[in-house]
Amino acid sequence: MASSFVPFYIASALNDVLAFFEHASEVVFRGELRFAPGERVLEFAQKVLA
Amino acid sequence: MNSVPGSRPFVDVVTELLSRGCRVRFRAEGASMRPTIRGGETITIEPVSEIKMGDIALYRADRGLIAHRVVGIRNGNGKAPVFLTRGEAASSTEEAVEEQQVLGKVVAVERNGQSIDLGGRWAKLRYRARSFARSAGRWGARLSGVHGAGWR
Repeated sequence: MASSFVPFYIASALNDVLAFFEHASEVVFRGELRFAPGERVLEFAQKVLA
Repeated sequence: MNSVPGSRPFVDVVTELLSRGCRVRFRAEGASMRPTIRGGETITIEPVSEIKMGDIALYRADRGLIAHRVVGIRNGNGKAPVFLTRGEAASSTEEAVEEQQVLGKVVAVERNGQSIDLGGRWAKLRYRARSFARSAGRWGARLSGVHGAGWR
């Protein structure tokens, strides 16, 4: 089982955030998605690949 | 809830991940599902094709994502079922939830570094036993009131 951890991920659209989770079997949120002007910031998320 | 960090992008991402068949874990907040889920504990959600009585459903509501116990299912004539859900805390009230609001079910909670199963047969049995004990306690209190003698 492989996993990757992203402390900060800046995306211009929700689809970019979802693209990061492509092929994940499990996603663990340590923080939450937050809006900033013109961008979305995903904090402390981990994706686990089966 | 137990409710969840309610930002719109969070709700959208969780909805999409579950619809893709992905498991999701995040920290729950609120006290309505005590003692099964306590505020600040991490819950694991799995996508499901069918929700059954006793499951803890995660569903979308105007106030965000909610995880409550399914206490009733109404099957309309040829229509999609409607689920009656309720938290386990005494102050919690029932809520009718449409099938399309339901995203998945809570299968585990992390407490003191351990994962506790919430989706299996034993978990539901524990819930039923606790519900029965609570009902018996209420009946006991009523009877003691009828006879004018309280528990002391």
